[in-house]
Amino acid sequence: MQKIDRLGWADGRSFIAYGLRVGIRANSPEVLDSLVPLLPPGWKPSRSPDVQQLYSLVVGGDSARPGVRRFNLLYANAARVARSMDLDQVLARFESDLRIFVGERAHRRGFVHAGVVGWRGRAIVIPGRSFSGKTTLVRALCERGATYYSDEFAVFDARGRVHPFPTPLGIRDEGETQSTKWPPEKLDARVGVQPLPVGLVAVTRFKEGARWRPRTLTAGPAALALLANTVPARWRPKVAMATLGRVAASALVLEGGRGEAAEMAGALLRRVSAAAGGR
Amino acid sequence: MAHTSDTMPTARTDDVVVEDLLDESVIYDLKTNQAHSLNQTATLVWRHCDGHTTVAQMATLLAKELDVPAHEALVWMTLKRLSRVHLLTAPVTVPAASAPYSRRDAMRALGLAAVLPVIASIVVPHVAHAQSCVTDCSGEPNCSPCDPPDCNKLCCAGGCLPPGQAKSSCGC
Repeated sequence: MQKIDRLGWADGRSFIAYGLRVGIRANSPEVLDSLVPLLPPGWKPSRSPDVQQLYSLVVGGDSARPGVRRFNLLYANAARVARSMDLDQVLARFESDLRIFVGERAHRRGFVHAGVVGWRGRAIVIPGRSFSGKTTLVRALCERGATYYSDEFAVFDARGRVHPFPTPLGIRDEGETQSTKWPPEKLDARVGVQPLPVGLVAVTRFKEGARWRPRTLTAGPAALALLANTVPARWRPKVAMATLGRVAASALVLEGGRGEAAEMAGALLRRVSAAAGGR
Repeated sequence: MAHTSDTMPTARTDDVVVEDLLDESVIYDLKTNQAHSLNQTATLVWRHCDGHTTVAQMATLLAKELDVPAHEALVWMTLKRLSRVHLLTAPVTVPAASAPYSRRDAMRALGLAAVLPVIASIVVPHVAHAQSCVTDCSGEPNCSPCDPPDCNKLCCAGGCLPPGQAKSSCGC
């Protein structure tokens, strides 16, 4: 860490997100500004230099020696977590690593990798890893009037309610592995503000030609489906189990393959509406 | 190994986190980082594995709770499953006369399809597994998921390896 401290830093800032104190510093003030949009929703600036996680970003580029270019480097505390000639890659790594840190250690919140929308006062939660089709389904739901909560994390509190984590949607074109960021406003979607109780959990994965004919999961398998996508599961198993158990025991949990998102989105909204009495 | 009606199995209490969910339960094994969901039958047997309740007594208790005829075979079937996922302090061996059943045999012989024990298990993900999947592992921390779209491999020393190799080389 001392070696990194000696590198010389142009500027640094600290902030608080989900009860965690995080610092960022860089050898370029301009690049520090580009980190701000990558911070978790709801972050607040902090004046305290005492932090639990410190990110140090070394911007590379051209060197004084002709023909020599230096790597861009990212450190999380003393560990190097990214090294690339492409600054955008390093920034993406910063965003990803920060989300892991927050998701794992957040105070009083349980992070589950999931898409979330709000509908009729209830949350629809779509757990799943990357490439399972969460964002496509979230987009389809928002285009039908659902309120955008997140396409990455369901953030649960101790009561089992879901809080918004409204980062830009990572939209991928068909066949592509890289995504483009879409702000929710681009979908004309409202963005959630209030925490919501969970009305429905849809455990699903896109499969060409599949029809949405789900089976209902009982509480045990439902909890497992959520636990399989829970960020702090190994770090804080008791807290994770208690929160997920509350959700699994109270929400309708459906599992099945799905085809086109548009068809499934309509089915999910109708299901939640029916449960809510058409309110 | 005990294998009679007087057998009194004991559930593990060390290094497990138990969450009761209505009639079912989820048990997190901290030693293996596996989580198991137990249906009503498996939960009832598990809860009575207190070192004082015999298999015969469990059968009677199950009959009362589930409103079915008492069958030790159902208890033995459940104990076998609990033993397989290491949720008992000692393994049990099912007596040959009691339960030589596959699920199909049990359904045919016992006529108790709805009350057969079900235990589902997952490996609880490492924190990185619950995050997004990368195409390039250079600069990525070990054990990050890689190789989209299936994301069934893990980063290890800058490479993207099958889970078994990642475990032996990088401790994933």
